[in-house]
Amino acid sequence: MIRVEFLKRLEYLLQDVDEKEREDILAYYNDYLDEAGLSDKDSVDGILDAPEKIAASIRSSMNSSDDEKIQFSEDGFRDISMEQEEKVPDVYSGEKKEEHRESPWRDYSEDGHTHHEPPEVKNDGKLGKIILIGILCVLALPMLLGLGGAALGLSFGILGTIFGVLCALIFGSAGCTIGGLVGGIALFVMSIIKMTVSVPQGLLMMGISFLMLAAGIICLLITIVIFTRLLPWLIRSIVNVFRRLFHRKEGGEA
Amino acid sequence: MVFNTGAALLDAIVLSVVSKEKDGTYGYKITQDVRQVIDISESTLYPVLRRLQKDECLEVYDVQFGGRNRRYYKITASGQAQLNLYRCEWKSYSSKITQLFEKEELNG
Repeated sequence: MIRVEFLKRLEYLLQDVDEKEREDILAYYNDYLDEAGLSDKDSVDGILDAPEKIAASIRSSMNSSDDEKIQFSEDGFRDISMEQEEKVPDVYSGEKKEEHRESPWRDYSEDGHTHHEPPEVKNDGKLGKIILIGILCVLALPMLLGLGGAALGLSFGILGTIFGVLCALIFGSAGCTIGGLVGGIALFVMSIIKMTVSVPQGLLMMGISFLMLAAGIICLLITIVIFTRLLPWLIRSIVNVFRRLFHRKEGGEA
Repeated sequence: MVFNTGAALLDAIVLSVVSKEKDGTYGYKITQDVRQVIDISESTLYPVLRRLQKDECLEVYDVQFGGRNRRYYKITASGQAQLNLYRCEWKSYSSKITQLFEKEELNG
């Protein structure tokens, strides 16, 4: 392949790469061939690898550097891919002894083999999945919005109900306590006064006042329980729920 | 070559080659220098240089040379630190293996 063809082909293969990046790559190889003293019509064979191979190795290095380099700090993936090609013709040229002699290193080169192919395949799969998920998201958007609205409304409804019940419980119990105790005492005082006029009526009123006092005391106990146990527990659990929500959000965004 | 050169070792070799030139050096020369030491294809180095540049171990600058642009690569302070780390690691790694091999020789 002559130099002009090589550069054209490389540019073609890197079409989907970021423009600035592509320009850098082409400038690098163009410079390289300049330094090597090649003219436009000179063949690059024997100097540079096939453009397909160069494009693939650049692409894999881009992916791996974006994916925290896992692929290659572990097994020297990129390098192996380069050396492999040099080894392949050796094997094909009929030197079977070479192959045998290299068996102790099989582990290494096999590692290279298995890791050489999958990354590209894997990336294609990943990209496809991402695109599919994207399309699904767009299609499901109206439905998701509806569902989201319903869910939001429902959760606000539930929250409102809980809040109402709570308020009723708290204020109701406090009110009952005050009513029961104050009413009971007042009725008791009134019953003593009434006693001077009519003993049976006074006794009845006193009995009722005791009942009211008893009810007031029960309400007082309930109020105490609500204020010392239920309310702190409720506040704590609400705080926990929000904390968990925010933590999850932070985790999701990071 | 029998042994594979891993990515870290290749990084270390490239950093070392570049660090030898105070004013930096360019792709073709780096490739030729590296090829004096290990057997790699001439097209291998672009991804390595690109990554080292992305990791801020190398910085680039363009110089007009003979009517065209030549991109120079120069080692940065963090690149130098990385190279020192590689040197230490290599020293212990290679000496352990050398020791092992030499012991085997004595026994045999």
